[in-house]
Amino acid sequence: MTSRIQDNQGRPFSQKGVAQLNLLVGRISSLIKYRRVILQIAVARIKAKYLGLKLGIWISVLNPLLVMLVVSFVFTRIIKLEITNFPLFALSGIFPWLFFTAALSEAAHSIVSQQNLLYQFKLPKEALPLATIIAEFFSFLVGWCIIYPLFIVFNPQTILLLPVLILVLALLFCFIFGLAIVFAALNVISRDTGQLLGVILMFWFWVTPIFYSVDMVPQDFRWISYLNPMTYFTIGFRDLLFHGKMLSLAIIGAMLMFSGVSVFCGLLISAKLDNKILKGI
Amino acid sequence: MAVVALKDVWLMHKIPFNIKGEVFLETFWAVRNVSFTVGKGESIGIIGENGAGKSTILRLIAGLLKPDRGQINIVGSIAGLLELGAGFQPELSGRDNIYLNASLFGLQQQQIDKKYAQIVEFANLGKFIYAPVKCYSQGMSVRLAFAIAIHMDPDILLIDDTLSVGDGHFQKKCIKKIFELKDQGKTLLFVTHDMNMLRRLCNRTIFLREGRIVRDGSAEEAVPLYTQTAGVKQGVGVLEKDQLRLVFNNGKLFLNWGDILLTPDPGMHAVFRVKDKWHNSFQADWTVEQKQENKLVARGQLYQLDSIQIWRIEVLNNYDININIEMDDSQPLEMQEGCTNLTLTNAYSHWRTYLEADKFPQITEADRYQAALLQENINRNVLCVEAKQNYDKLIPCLGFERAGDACRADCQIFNSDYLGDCRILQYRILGAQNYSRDRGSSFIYFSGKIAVNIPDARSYIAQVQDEYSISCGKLKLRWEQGRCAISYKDIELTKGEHIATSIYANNKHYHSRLAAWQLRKNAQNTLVAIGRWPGLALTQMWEIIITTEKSFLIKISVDVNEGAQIEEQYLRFIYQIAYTSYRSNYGGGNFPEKFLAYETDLLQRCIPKGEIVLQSRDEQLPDVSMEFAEEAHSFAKIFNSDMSIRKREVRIVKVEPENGTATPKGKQICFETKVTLDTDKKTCAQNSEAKSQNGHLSIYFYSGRGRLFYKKRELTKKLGFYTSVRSEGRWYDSYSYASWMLKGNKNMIEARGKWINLPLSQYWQIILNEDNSINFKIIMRVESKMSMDRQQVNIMLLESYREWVANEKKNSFPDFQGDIDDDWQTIWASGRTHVSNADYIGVCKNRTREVGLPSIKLFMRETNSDWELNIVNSDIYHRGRILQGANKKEAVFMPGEYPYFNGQILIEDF
Repeated sequence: MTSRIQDNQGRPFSQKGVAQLNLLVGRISSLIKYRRVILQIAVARIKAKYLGLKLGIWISVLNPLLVMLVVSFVFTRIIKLEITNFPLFALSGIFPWLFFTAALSEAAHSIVSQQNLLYQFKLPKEALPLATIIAEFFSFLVGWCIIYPLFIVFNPQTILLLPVLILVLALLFCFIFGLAIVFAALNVISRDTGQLLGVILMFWFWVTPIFYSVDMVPQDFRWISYLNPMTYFTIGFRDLLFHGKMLSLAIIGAMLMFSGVSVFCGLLISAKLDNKILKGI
Repeated sequence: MAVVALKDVWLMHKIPFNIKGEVFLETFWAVRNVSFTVGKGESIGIIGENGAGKSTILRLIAGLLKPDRGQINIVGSIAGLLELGAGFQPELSGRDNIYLNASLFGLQQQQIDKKYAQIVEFANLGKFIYAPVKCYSQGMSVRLAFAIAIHMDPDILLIDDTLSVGDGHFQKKCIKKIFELKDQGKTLLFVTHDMNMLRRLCNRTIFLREGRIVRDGSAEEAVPLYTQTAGVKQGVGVLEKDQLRLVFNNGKLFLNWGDILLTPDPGMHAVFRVKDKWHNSFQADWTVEQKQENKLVARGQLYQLDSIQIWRIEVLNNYDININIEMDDSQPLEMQEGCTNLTLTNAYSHWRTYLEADKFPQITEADRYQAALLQENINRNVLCVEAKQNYDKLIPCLGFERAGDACRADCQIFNSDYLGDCRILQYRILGAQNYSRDRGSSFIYFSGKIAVNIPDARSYIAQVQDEYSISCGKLKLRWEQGRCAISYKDIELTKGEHIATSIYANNKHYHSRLAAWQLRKNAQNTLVAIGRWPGLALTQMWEIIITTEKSFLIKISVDVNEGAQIEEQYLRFIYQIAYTSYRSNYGGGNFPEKFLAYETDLLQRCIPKGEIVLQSRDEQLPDVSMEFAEEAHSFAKIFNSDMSIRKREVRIVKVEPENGTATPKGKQICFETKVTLDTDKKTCAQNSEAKSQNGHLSIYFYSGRGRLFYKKRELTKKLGFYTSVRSEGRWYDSYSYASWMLKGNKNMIEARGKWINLPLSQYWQIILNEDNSINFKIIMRVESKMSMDRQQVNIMLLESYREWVANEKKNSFPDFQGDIDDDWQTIWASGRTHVSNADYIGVCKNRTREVGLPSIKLFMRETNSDWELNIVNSDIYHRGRILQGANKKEAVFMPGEYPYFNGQILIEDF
């Protein structure tokens, strides 16, 4: 038997920091507690997604391949950039970005579209974005299975960097999660958020060095790149996949920091909005 | 131990109102200061109108919402069925959804594996379990969702009004399962609008209104409050008088006594059938006007029918409630059936009308709505119910009365079905013609009274009945819808139909009890009733006048409109079987103790006038005398009814002459009878039956016929020994058209009979001789000039006589022939001229079949040349062998005495 007390009455101010930490720990532990359920929802989403499609799982394979084809065509035949092996260069950037946008925009709608679940079941509401991200991650991995061998063929030593790659992926996952729960929560309060997110992502795409490298950005504007968390993730992926070189500690540090802040703030904000959201759905 | 505890819980919603493009937020408290605790194993129903906060509270308990203020403590696991199919992924199959939902409810994979089969079985979806849920009908989703939720084995189960979606069979299954959970000590909270379910499932009910708890208590306390107040506010009206509280709520009337609801849902209401469709008062749109404190008028617009129902309710000083329901229809409604029902709580254990009284039986699950009908189609003006069981609270005795002067209505008393679990008193009017429409476009649907808190049913009914009765001293006459009962010293002398009339017209019987009566009490001693029958163009008027403490007068007249053809009219007096003897001016006797199985036992007929007295051995019962004057075509009969009814009846019959024309218009008096009780003249009854015996031979004579016995065995049958004359083409038999005065001694009977409708009387002398012969001599007396074309003496003998003799001729009787209507069949005729003293006709026993039957011979003595002897077979109804003396000469008789027939019967026993 579990006993819980729901108390929204104000706590003493001095304990606020501790309380927030407790809140975080509580949130995370409840997510861990519901891990099976989250996995189930994710699996259900994956199933639902592919059951509804004629092409099924192949769409996840086709998607990156088509992207690569288009990118190659545009950047080798139409715009001639002076980057050797540009298709792979672009692909190493765009592929994680595709995951990022897909996961973030899907997750932002996850609570709104599945509010019934929260109406009936006692779930931490972060579970819904989380499950969505997992489902999207699965699609990403399917595509990855096609793309990754290309990089290995091009640059065999890349395979040695796989553990680091997994770390980067995990950090990206955390970064997306943090952002997603905030957007998902805000989207319940105001449906504008979802629409706004599309615009933001569009803008974000172009400030992120995907079709270009950071070196190509004029010095005056380079600070923008450095402020953009996705720059580090893109550099990380590109270094590991395209250049086949180990990441600098600075980059890893930046990624760690951004994903940490994202998760921390995300959980805090989402927790703050908790009651508002439950009433809102 | 409390497993759910809410303490001062408040919850606020902010709702963005968007009015003409202007959006503003308004706060709205969905739950206000709600506190309650639920113990382990309790099952709680939450009721309230839409938006009362029921679902919000369930969501608060489920932890899906956090209260803005207050605390909620929960002990144990919770599963809720708050939103149908909430956890379903439409693309996934039912099977996958079971796994998904079960894990959402917090079950582990292995646990789900274990329960999977049960869930599938309970949901009963067949192969659809493998189809995507998006293909399911709503009912199927509900079944699946419910099956999952209920198998989660939570400590606390929350259900939000979802049960009603499934079909009856599934609901039953769910309820059974819920009962199982209850038995396992699970705690149950559910929101429902189904009050029957609520009553069955929960031991506590919380009634919410606008986020607040109005009542937290038993279903009996909370449900009434809810049903009484739920509904459109303009259709609700309340009348209060001390403990009595009346709530009119959109076509239902509720009665509260203190905090007890006497009339559970749907209270008092009207149900009626128009064009084979049922409508009821609570389907209408109501507006209540209340101008006075004790009075309200409610108007209900019945859509579909384009008419208005108006209820006028008034509470009088002594907790009497006058209720008048009127229908106003611009296009006359063809009201096929109109019922006014009073639904009563099952705390009422006994019912009573002024004749019947009984206990309500227990309502079992098997009983359907109408199956528990206790009294069907009786015509009563007041119904009472009493609660005689020991209840904590005092349930007042209640009377439901209908104004008697409107139209005829049936009463029905019945139990509702098992779910409703209530008593129903109903007044029902069948047929549109029964509503009097003398007020233009409106008519009275129901008019009556509910009397609450009457001291006891019996005395109340007596009091009500007083309005329909007149009395003087010990004599009391009670009018009861076309019947009038006589009671004397509080003992009822009449039974069944009491005093009643009936009219045979247009080939149909019209009984007074089936007429619609208008009653007027002219003075303390006079009662005037005017009755109409549907489909008969006449009115009958009764005037009952008490003249002394022991006597009264009944005058009955008809007022004929066009087109009625009356053939016969009856005035019937039906008495208790405690009356044992009768007497008229034409003799008397004891009523036979045994009743005949299927037919009435006529004792005396054709009493043209005078006094008929019934007497009882019981000292308590007074003698009754009925006196009536002689009138053309009118006579009285005395008879015993058949075995099933068991009563004594005196019937005065008035036969209209058969001239084939309609009865003339206008008023005519039909009967005028004076009834006197407790006459002092202790008259010794003159026997209308006489017996005589000599040796083996005996004869028994009563009302115009003789029965012949030899060695205690009857030789005659049915009509026996009788005479019959034909005048102007019509037969007049001694047993049916004459009244007799008799004298009997050892071997002789003398009888004087007077024919009604004929100026004829006969004197019979029957002498029994030692030598097994009977001499009989019949003299007739004609009072005034008349013609006769046939004169007969008949002896109807047993069918067992199979051979006949005529002088030396001998032969067998043929079989009986033809229909009942066929003429009797003459087998041998002597012809008029050949008959001499020695000639005889007779019958022999059939030696092979019947032993002990003597042969019988009929001789004619003092021969009259006009007479002949015939051997006749009767029709197949009577099946008798008849020895007949007949005079077929047509003649006109002047007043005077004439010999009729002289004969001898010889019994020969070999």
